[in-house]
Formats: sequence, structure tokens, C-alpha cells
Amino acid sequence: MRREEVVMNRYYRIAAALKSTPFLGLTVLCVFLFVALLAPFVAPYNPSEQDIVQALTPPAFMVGGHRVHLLGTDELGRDLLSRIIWGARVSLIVGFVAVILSGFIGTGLGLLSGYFGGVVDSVIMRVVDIQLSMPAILVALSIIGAVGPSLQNIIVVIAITTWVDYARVVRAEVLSIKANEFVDLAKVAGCSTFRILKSHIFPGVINSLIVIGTLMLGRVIIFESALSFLGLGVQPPTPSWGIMLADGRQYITFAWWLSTFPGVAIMLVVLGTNLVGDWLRDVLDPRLRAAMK
Amino acid sequence: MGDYILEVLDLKTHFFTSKGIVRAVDGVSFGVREGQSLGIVGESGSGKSVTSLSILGLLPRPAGRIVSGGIFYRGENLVGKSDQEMRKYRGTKLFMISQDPMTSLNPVFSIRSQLGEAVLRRKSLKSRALDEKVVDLLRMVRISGAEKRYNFYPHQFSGGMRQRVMIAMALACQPDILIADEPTTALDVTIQAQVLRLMQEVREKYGMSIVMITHDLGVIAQFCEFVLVMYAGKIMEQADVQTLFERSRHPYTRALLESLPQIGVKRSRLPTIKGQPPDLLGLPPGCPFYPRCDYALDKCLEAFPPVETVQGSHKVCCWRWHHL
Amino acid sequence: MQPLEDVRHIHSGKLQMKGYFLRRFIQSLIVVLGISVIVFVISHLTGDPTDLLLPPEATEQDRALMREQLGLDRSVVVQFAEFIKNLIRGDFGESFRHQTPALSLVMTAFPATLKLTLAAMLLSIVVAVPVGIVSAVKRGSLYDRLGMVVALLGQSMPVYWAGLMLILLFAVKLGWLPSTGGEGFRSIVLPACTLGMFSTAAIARFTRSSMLDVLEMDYVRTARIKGIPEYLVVLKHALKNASIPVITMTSLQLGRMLAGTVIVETIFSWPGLGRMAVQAIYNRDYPVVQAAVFVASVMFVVINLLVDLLYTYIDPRITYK
Repeated sequence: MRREEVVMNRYYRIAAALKSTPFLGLTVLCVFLFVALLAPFVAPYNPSEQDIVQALTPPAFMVGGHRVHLLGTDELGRDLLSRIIWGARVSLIVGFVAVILSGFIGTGLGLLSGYFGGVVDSVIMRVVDIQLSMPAILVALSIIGAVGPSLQNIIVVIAITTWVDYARVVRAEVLSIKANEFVDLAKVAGCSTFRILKSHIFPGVINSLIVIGTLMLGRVIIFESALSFLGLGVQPPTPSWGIMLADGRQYITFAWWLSTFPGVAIMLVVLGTNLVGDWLRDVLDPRLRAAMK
Repeated sequence: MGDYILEVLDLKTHFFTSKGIVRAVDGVSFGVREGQSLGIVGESGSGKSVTSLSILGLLPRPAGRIVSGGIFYRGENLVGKSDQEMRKYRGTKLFMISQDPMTSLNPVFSIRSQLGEAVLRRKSLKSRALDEKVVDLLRMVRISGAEKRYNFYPHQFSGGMRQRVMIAMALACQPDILIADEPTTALDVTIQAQVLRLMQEVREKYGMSIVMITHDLGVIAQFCEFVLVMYAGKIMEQADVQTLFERSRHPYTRALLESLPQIGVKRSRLPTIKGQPPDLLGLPPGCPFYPRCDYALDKCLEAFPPVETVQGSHKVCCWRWHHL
Repeated sequence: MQPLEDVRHIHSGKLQMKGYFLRRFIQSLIVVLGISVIVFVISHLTGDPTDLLLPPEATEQDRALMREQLGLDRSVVVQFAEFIKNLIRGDFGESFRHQTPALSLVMTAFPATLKLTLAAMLLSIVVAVPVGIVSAVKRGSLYDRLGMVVALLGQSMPVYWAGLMLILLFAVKLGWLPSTGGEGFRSIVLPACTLGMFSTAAIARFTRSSMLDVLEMDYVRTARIKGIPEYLVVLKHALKNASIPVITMTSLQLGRMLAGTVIVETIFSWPGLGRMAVQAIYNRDYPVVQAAVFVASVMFVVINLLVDLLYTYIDPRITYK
């Protein structure tokens, strides 16, 4: 009976996972990707083009708005929709690069930590603990405050504050892979450490990486916009969703759209990454649920 | 031995999955008498465990459902009863212990707490008296040092002891029928013998009917009075244990018996049953044992044979039982 | 008849516990040491702070004098040793801006942050856990799906945006609740809700999945076989097991919340540690930054330690670490 029951549950789970392909999430992400890549062609206006006369026009569906500026304009008369489109570029670029960079660092350290164990593991895990105890935002803000908010700096800082999530999960995966006999066999057969890591261990880790990477993209985008919101992220005139939110704050009582729509954009992108990431997790590796908190 | 206290009539339990319908139990009829030890033997996937879950109303929802048939406990049909109604029967009238004692006990509650719950189902006792009763139960199942250990947690006991605790739980509940689903499969052979002996004592002392579900014919031989042989959701043969071992009339049963290693018999190779275990999603019409049967005829592929009486309580479902 | 099974001997449970805690404590100390290293490194990234402290007309001589005063002319190692020595005494130096000891400044802001964080955490748990349980028990129902969608949305929203939207709705449009914090009971509502939003969503989702896992377990079935009423099966037998990973997760959320206070306090002008830290970063007031980061981190370490303690009461298996 046990096998029957387990088989039934597995059938159910796989069917459910396949049925729930997150078309919504994928669509949202594709739209944003598309928009970000083709920003110069898609955006109706130049995001820096000011038109003081038109300042603070409400979005088209409200009284006082018109179709010329679909989502209204900001305090300098810049078209909000265009700024949001160009802001997508910034967010996605920072997001992807930071995720890849932190992925490298985290995976590398996770592999070393899991595979070699012993002192290496203890040291790396201590560093992980230390870093986890420190509020990432404060650390990031302090560093950027010290070294200056250039795009590169931001990406690097985000990367060094977020690698930890990869490291822990990768390490757990490596440990469970290592427990398999084929790793010992490879060692006995004389494979070099590098080869073992590359051909035997890494492939087992890729699934988790894909899932975490996707989910982290959302978190990094939020992180970057938080930095911009506090003024220590991407600097004007480059439009960033975070800055738009911060600027719009002062006008919130009578021009609420300035802060609302950029936020909606962020939420949609992150929703997309969460949906896709969750789906990937269900399809690729249900065991991950326990490792990811 | 008395009358039937449990009668299962043409029970059909199906699982509805995205890949199709799994007919886990497909027309099963049998009865359990008071104080009897009934064995249900079959491979994994034969439907033996699903039968017991059906009786208790604990099928995994929403996939599993009793599609038709009746389960009569002292005349009352349990099929179709709500969870709330079933609760009246569970514990006090029907109980089940399952294969894995490691996971059957809640790891975060003490043995005392879990056994106590079972005791309280029958009578309410104050804390002191409850402690004593729990210690008593542990002693009955021969767990040494019960006075000191009744407050321990499951992980502090070994597998065999945990199974004894489950038996103690059965004693606490005092059901009419105890269903034991592969209770010794996860244990060492020596422990197995002890647990079986304990169950035998329990049965004799309390007049409890025990339904022993297993794939191990040795356990059947040791323990059971009457046996059902199941395959792919159907009962192939039923008889008292002596008759089954000596005068079986079904090819599947015969094959099972022949594949048992025997002391004193020299053989170059242990016979196995040819073919693959049945795929419950793609069962052929007719007899499910057809692809693996040495006596198969075309007729066997067309229709499943009806139940026929060989002699007395010995019944079989085979077109060719006369020829065996 | 003698049972042959071996008995697991329990060595004095208390002794093992003590050993475990000693090890955890030492681990925590190492972590705190590491934190101080990082804090030190960060605050020395700027290089020369004399630009900030002295007016532009200051001569090179003045600068050299200041550097000497601040001990910046000595080697890094020596500076670090100084740093640690002062750290133990609780001396982070004086705030550049306010000429008061940095640590005491930070500690005045600390209670406000603590209040906010606890309120947010309490709110989260009170809302999220029941939602998670009900979703698990009524799996697949409209309630379940709606709940999980809302939770997903909650996790996808940036904290500051959520805060701004709440302000927009409740303070600006409806005028029910104040948008700046500090005084009175009502002022904590919006910031606590904002701060707790992500955790509520995360905890609800996790409680649900944890409960679903546990409800499939054999021991839950055993409880049902015993005839225990369903509400007890869920709330006693299942919940206690399901809550174990949820507690780990909650402590992690607490850490994230501490970071979140930075933004929430800024938006709601809540006089806490986060806002003070941000202001200090803007003002290049490094002693305060150091003190704030350090205090926040240590708080996290302490909370983790306490959570570990809590574990051993809930899960009797843990003593064997």
C-alpha cells in the first residue's frame, strides 16, 4: 500500500505542477524584459524631457489627465510612463548582474564548504553566520555611503550582501550529493577534485541554483530600489523606480500617482519572479522547500 | 470463534489520479469472525493496505474513494459515514497498527501522553491513575523498566519497542478488531518473532480479532487461522491456513508457495514468478494474473472468473482451479 | 520472556544540554567578533574623515593633528586593537554631529525600534499562523487559494511602497491613522502593519506548507485511528510538529524585520534605530553608524540564541546535538 500511496501522491503533484505553469508570471516577466530591452523604442517620451507647464498632470483615466501622458507626469513635467519603462532597464540590469555575481560567489563558496568540509566549512559557515546577523541594508548603505553610489558599486555591494542565500542551499545540496556513493567511486578512480566538482557535483546543484536565482532576482530588484529610495542607489538623472517613489512622497496628498505606479511596476516584476521561481521549485526539486526558508 | 463481526461485501476503492483511475480494491468480499486471526497476503500494490484504510475511513482524500460495496461492522454499514460518525468506531471498536513504528508515534509527545490519550478514550482517569495505567500497559507488552520510562519520547525507544508501544496502544483501546498492516516488516527476524508472539497472546487473552496484512507467507503460517490471497485489487483465493498451504487451487498462490525457500530441499535456483508486477493503471480485462500465469487460457483474458467454492470455506477465483 | 532490544541509555540530559549551550554561546561570541571586524572595515573605507570634520580652510597641519588625535596615523592592526578595546567598554566614540557618546545615542533610539519590531512580529504571528493552518486544512478551497494569492502579493511588494500606500489610504484619504510615529497607540498601527507585511505573508505560506507536510505523516493518522476529534488532531498533534520549522523561519524573519525598520522608520518618521542609522550615514557620522550596526547585529545574534533555547523545549529530539 505504501508504494501505491506514494505513487498516487507523486502523480498528483507532478500533474498539479504542470497544470499550474505560471503563464501570468512568465508573461509579466517577458513584458518587462521586452520593454526594458526596447526602451528607446517603446517609451513614448524621453524620460528626462521636462515640461514644467505639464507638471503634475494626473493619469489619463482621471479628471484632468489626457491620453498624451497615460500615467501622468511628475513634478518636472516628465512623463511617468516613459520613466517607468526606462526604470525597468536599470532595475533589470542591476538585478541580473547582481544575481549572477552573487550567484558565482555564493555557489563557489557553497561548493567549497560542502565538499571539503572541516576547517574550510567551519570558516565559511562562520562568515555566513556573521553576515546573516548584520542587517544587509545598513551594511549596504554604509558601504555605498563610503565609496560612492556608482552603478558598479551598487551592483558589487548588492552582490556581497546577498551571496549568502546561495551558499547555504548549495552547501546543503553538495552534502546530500556527497553522501552518494558515486562520489567516493570517482575519488577512488583518481578523478581530480576539480573534475569531481565539475562533472559530478555541480550538475546536481544546478536545479537549486535556477530556482534560487529566479527568486533572488525579485529580491535584488527590491533591494536596489530600496537603496535608490534612500538616496544611495542609482543617482538622477537615471530614472530608477526607487527614486521615483522617494520623489513622489512629498506630493502624495495630491499627486498620488507619482509614488503608486512605480511601486506597482516593482510589485509586478517581483510577483513574476516569485511565481516563476515557485513553479520552478515545484517542478525541479520539491525537496528545496525545506532548505529555503 | 463466533459470528462475523466485520463483513466486507464487494468493496471497490478507486484512486482518481490525473493519469487515470487506479482500481486499488476491485470487488473484495470477506468476513472476520470474533476472535479470529485473519491474514491478507499479497505483493505491494495488491490492495491489501487500501482495504484496511477503507475499513477505517482513512483513505487519502480527494484522490481515494470507496466507489461501491459495503463494510458491515456488526451489521452497521460504515461506507458513507462522515468522519465524525467514524470516530465512534475508531479506537474503541477498530484499530490499526502500521508498518513503520518509527513514524507512527508523534515525536514531540511522550509515550505517556500518547498512550494516555488512548486510555482516556474508554474511561476518564486522573493523572496519577493514568500514569499507573500506562505503566501497566507497558508492562503487559514486556517493556522493561516501564516505571522509569513511561515519560520517555519515541526516539528514545528502539523499533521493536515502539511496535510494542503500538500494541500497548491497541490494548488501551480494546478494539474488537485490530488491523496490523505489515507490523513486523521493518523489524529484525528475532524481534519479529517476539512481536508476533505478543500479538498472539493479546489475541488469546482479550478475544480480539486480528487482521494480519503481510507479504510474508512465513508470518501467515505462524500467526493466521484464515487467509485471503490478494492480487491487483482482487481476492484470488481464501481458505484456512492449513488448506491454503497444502491444497491451494490458485496458480498465484501456488507460485508464491513454490518460491519459498525450504530447508532440506536442494535446488539449483529459487523459483520466481515470471513477469512484472501489475501496473494498476493499465490492467488487462479479465484476470490480472494472466500475463504471469502458467495455466492461462484465452478465457482468462476475457473475463474475471467468479468466486467458486472448492470445499467449505475454501473459495477460489480461477477458471482452471479444477486442474491444479 | 525477556525483550532483547537494546535500551538507549540517556546520559544525564542536563549535562548534554549545558555542553550544547556552551558551544552555541562561543559560536555567538565568534560571530560578534566577526561583526566587529566588518564594522571596523566599513567605517574605515572612506579613508580620511578629516575632510568632514574640519572646515575647508583647515591647513594640512590641522589635518595631521586631527588624524593623530583620532589615532588614524597608527597601523591598521593597532587601530583595530584600540577599536576592540573600546568596544568592550562600550565606547564607540562620540557622534560627530552631536558630541555625545555614540552608543548612548543609539541606545536611546533602541527601545522605539524594539517596540515596533515586537509589535510587527506579534501582529504577523497572530494573523499568519491561523491563516496558514486554515489554508492547510481546507486545502484547495477558495479560502486557501485566495489566502495564498494575497500572501504572494504581500511578499512581492516593496516595503516602502506598501508603507506609502497605507499612508495614502489610511492617513491621507481616510484620515483614520496618523502617518508619523512616536506618540500614542494609534501611531504604531501603520508602521507595524507595514513592517509586518512581508513576514505575515511568508509565515502564512510556510505554516501552510509545513502543516500540509505534517498532516500527511503517519503519526497524524495514528491519532485519527485512535479516534481523536479532528480539531485536536490539527491543533495538538499536527501543529506542534509543524511549528518547529516555522519557528526557525520566524527567527529569520525577525532578522529581516530589523533590516526593514530602516526603511519603515524613515517613512513614518519613527524615532528608532533604523532612522538614526540612515541619518548618520547621510551625515557621515561614523561613530553612530558603527554603534547602530553593531547593536542591531548583536540583537539579532541574541534573538537567535534565545530561539535555539526555545527549540529544546518544543522538540525533545534536539538535545542530542
